[in-house]
Amino acid sequence: MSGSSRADGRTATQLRPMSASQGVLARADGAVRFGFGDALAICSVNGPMEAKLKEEQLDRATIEVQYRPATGVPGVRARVMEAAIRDIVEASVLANHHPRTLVQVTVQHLNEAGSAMATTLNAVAMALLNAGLPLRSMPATTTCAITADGELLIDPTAEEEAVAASIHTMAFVQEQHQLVYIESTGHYTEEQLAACHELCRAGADKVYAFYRVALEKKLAEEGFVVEAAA
Amino acid sequence: MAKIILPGEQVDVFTVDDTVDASLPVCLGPGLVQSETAVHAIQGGLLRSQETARHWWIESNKKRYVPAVGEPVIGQVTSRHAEEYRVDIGGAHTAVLPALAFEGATKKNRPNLKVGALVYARVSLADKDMEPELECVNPSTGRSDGYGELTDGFMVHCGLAHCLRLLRPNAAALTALGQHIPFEVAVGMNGRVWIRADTIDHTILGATMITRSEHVYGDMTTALTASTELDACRRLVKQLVQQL
Repeated sequence: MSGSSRADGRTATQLRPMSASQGVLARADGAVRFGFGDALAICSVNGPMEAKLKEEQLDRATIEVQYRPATGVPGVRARVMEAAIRDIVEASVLANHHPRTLVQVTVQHLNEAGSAMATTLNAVAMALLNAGLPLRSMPATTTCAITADGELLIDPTAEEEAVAASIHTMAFVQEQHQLVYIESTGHYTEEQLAACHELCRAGADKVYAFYRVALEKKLAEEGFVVEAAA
Repeated sequence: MAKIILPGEQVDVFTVDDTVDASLPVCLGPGLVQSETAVHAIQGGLLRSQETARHWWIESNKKRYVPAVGEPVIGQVTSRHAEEYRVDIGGAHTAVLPALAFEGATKKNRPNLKVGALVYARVSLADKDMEPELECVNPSTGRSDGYGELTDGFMVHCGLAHCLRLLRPNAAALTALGQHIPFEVAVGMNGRVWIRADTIDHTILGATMITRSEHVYGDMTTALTASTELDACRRLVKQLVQQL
């Protein structure tokens, strides 16, 4: 793999710099704007709150997901996104801790610049953490593209995605590096998928490390005395 | 000791050194749950422990209140019924406040709360499958212990961690404010604080101080200690008094 093959000067295994603003919406219980470079999504989480009678579930919290793309009206693509967000949220949230309540997850994509799914799912995970909902785990998601000549590129930009032979998005939880979500489009071989898995896992580790740094920063701003790691 | 922890991470609460009595039961607080073999975090925050007592818990800030027994809360009456009031305490469900759960209340002599009135109460029942219940009386002594209707004054909202900080003895924000104006305050653990001072101006000053003091930590340049916290709050209250 050559180091200088990418238009923005990154190496094939390098993510764009991550950014996160936590608690950006004053009236939401949890809200985070997450970005890989200029690919940005904002997610707000509300709950556990009162559910409408017909939505109420006796043994668990009802989860409501809404996704809006950066431009245009929500269509089939938005429904696919919503399904993916729901998968991640239901796998992470311990819904049985708050029966007969409602948890509302709303995502607004701010700028689509590649790795849309990964940007969205990381924003969702951080917003769930920010809202303080009981979570089983924190999923970290990365996207990997395979170019026509078989090169693997992590965190592809929109231009790189447009010419890719296949695109793979994978989410991992930190304990045992478990794969919890995968979405692939295009033509690829089994070996290529295995290589993508390795690359995405390494990328997810970096995302997870970023979660920790972001949480530490938030706690320090809120007046918790955080001791430096020994 | 305190370290950052993310949900799903394991916590080793069972290994102890010689200073700890290993026969004591382990006590898990907020943010920690036990699975079959291990203890996991279910919240992100600071892992804290009192190792000699084998107490473990996670500290973090939230905005949404989840009721827990014994916590003081500030509620707003949303409807009146024959035997009880319905009170909004900011949780997922409205709470029930029995009309007889007040000091000296009898069938003939009961408090008359209007819809919209604020009450300071203690959570007497909290279960995830049941509606929370409140009381404004200590059931063992029959005294109010300071709970009851809150009249006049002003209520503000803040984060749950800030409420906890205001409830500590000698809370920096309240100490600093007390050096300038006399006031009465009720702090609910549901993210609501009620304050009443001698004049309306002072009440507004106090309410502003309570909301603004939540954010003094982000601007602090020195290490956070009890004295630097108090200094920051003093500077803030001085600035607010000058603006008055």
